[in-house]
Amino acid sequence: MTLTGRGDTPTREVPVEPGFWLLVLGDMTMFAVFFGSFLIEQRNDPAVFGAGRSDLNQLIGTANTVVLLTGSLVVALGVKAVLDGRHEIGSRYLLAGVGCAGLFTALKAVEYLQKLDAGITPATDTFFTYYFALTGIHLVHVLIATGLLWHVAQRARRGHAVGRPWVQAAGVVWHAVDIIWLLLFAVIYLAGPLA
Amino acid sequence: MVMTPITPDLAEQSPLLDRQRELRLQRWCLHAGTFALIFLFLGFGGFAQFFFPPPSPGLSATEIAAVYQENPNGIRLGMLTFFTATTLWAPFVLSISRQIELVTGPRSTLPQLQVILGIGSWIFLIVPGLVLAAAAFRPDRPVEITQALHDLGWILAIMPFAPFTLQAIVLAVATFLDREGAVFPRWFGYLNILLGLSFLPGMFLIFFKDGPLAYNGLLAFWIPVVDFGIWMLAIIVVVGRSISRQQAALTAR
Repeated sequence: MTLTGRGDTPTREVPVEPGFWLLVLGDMTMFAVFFGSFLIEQRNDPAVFGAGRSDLNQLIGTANTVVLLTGSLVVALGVKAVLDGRHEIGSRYLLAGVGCAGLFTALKAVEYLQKLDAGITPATDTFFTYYFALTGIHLVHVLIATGLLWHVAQRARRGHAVGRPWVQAAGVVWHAVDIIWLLLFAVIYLAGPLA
Repeated sequence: MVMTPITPDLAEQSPLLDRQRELRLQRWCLHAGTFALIFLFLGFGGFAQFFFPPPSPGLSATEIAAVYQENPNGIRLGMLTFFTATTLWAPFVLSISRQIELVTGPRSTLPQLQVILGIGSWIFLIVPGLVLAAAAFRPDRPVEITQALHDLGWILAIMPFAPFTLQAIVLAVATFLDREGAVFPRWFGYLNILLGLSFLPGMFLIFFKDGPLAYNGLLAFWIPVVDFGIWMLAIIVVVGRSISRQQAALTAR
């Protein structure tokens, strides 16, 4: 799907602006390097990584995946509505996206507290260093995306003009954060070492 | 005291000849940064051989001391090169602030903030090189002392990336204030956000002796160090082009 409204530009436009994609794609490249490094370390030490993974709360991980995907749906609807000029319904969708981000953060906090309660810290072993570092960096991304959504939703709700690039940026950042989570969930929570 | 009005266009304030000389001076300052970049990596990674691989904080004191006993003169020469590079950092910082002034005017907070951060972060380039030079000075001393100096040098070099991050944010703000893209291209702003934030995970290195957040790990060492090199290269290209454009505009008069 595209983030641009229907029939507003005859030529294909780059959402936000070309330079912005350096940030988004550069960020994804950085995560690709993180995952690659995680997989290499996992191959070197399958026992520690397997044991660490079995200590993760898969239920919360799965719930958070559903929360983020739901967020993507409402954010996509909200971005489209705001770009089409339907500000009131658009801002409601975007605030629902902010709600999803809040739920994600709350569940993540429960998960971290469970780990700390069980005496597991980022320094426990290499698996948990990766687990806390990568989910933590992702959480910072979620908060940045939430800030953008909140900003656009508030402006739309109050009937201020909303710059097209801001609306698009909020949507793109949210979806990027969602895609990164899908990979993170698969690599850290689900996938076992290759035989 | 009479306040002179702020003119964003510095070219209007100085005579033609002086302005050309000033731009040549700025280019020299910028390329001090080019040499700084080469010397930083040549000294730390080349002569001192601290890159392949960077010594792990998980090594024992005897193993760390052995690194210094096996290559004392390489590390000494490397730290001498590294130290030379850090001196060249100061003119580089100033060549950047001159371009920010083109956007904001000379009395703005932004170029001043960048200079202060640049000179503040200078400490964390000078001091670690000197501490590691001291570590290589007497490699046959008790191994725990060498280990302590080694830890001190590496923590000083890798942990304090935050002032560099704030400098990158200042450059991003300057880029986005420069709506016409007259000085900084748009991609430069986004690149500064990306690279600046990637410096930060190194702050957590004190909790780890092993893994990606240890001072030889992916998140604390490799990504910040490689991104720092990319960052300096991007600044050299963008500031160089800005100086060239001003020189061309002067010649065209």
